[in-house]
Amino acid sequence: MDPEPPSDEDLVSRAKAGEIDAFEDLVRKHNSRLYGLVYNMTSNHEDTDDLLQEIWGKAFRSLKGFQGKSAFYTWLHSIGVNMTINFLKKRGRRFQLSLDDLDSGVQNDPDFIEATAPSDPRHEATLAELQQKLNEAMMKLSHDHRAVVTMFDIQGLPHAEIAKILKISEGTVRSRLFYAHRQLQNYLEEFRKA
Amino acid sequence: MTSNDENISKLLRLKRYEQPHTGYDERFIREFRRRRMVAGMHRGFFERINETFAELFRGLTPATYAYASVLVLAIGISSSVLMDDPDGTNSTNGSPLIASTSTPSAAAPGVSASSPASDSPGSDFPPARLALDSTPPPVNIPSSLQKSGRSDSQAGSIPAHYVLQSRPVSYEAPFSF
Repeated sequence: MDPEPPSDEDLVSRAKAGEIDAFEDLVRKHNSRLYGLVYNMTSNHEDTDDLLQEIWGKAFRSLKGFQGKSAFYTWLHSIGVNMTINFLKKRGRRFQLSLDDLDSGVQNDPDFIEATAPSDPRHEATLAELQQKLNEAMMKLSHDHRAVVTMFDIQGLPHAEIAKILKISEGTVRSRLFYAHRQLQNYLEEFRKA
Repeated sequence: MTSNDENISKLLRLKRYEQPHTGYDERFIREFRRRRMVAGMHRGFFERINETFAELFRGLTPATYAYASVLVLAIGISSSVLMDDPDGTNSTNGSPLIASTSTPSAAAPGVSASSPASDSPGSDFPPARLALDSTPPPVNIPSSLQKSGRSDSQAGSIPAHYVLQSRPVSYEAPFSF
């Protein structure tokens, strides 16, 4: 029987005591979700890579100040969102999409099958076009709206968790989501009709 | 959530399939380790000192600070008491308290005429410090007082502090016969 993987509390206390391996285990455990957060806010793989290094570096330096009042994941995401928004403000409108490849599993996703005609000979083109349009639409949102859309729609976090990460009320989360969805419907109207 | 919102959410959920290349996590960790090593080498001297002190004091509680403060205060007071010149041989900078009791009419070296009441000339009571000091400080005996009716041989054998005890009578030990 495989031993239970160590909890975040255990890894954090060992990392605070100086065990670098414990901190690296935290990186392995949370990097995938953190990557998703930063990538979907920047739509650029290279920027995401650099930002993640800085975010984990800051988390490493600040770990001793983490008191465990919130989940480690929440604390880490707070750092990630703030640093990403600061980066985006400095980057301004000068950006270029640098998209990751879509995992082949997307072709079996019911939502993808529903959105595209499976027997359509333009299937591959539609897939690439869908990805391009989705990312362009996300980039048209403001940083704050993009953050809530990323966490709610893409990562599936509940409103309460998003409110804790962004240090805003749940009502503000809902209103930002509502406004962002209205904007995205306009940007994706052409694709939805197709 | 409206059906339009549901449609938008379904489309956005497809972005979960956007993933970095295989092996990304391990490459990321290797780069993280490298950056940590470089950051460690380039840390400034003062930054390391700050981190060391921050580390030293991070685990201390307010109670620990209180105990440490009391301890430092006690050490400071003890040091200042012990650092008083026990011999008083240096009359130029000897304790003004000693000078005031031995020569009440003379101005104490280093003490102005308007010295505090406890050191005022003519005071019958010694300063508290002398009363508490177990080793009576030696007294600078003026020459007029040295020839006080005792023979020179006797005067030479009797310690100065016995001839002129700086303590008032009430502080003297009772005679034993």
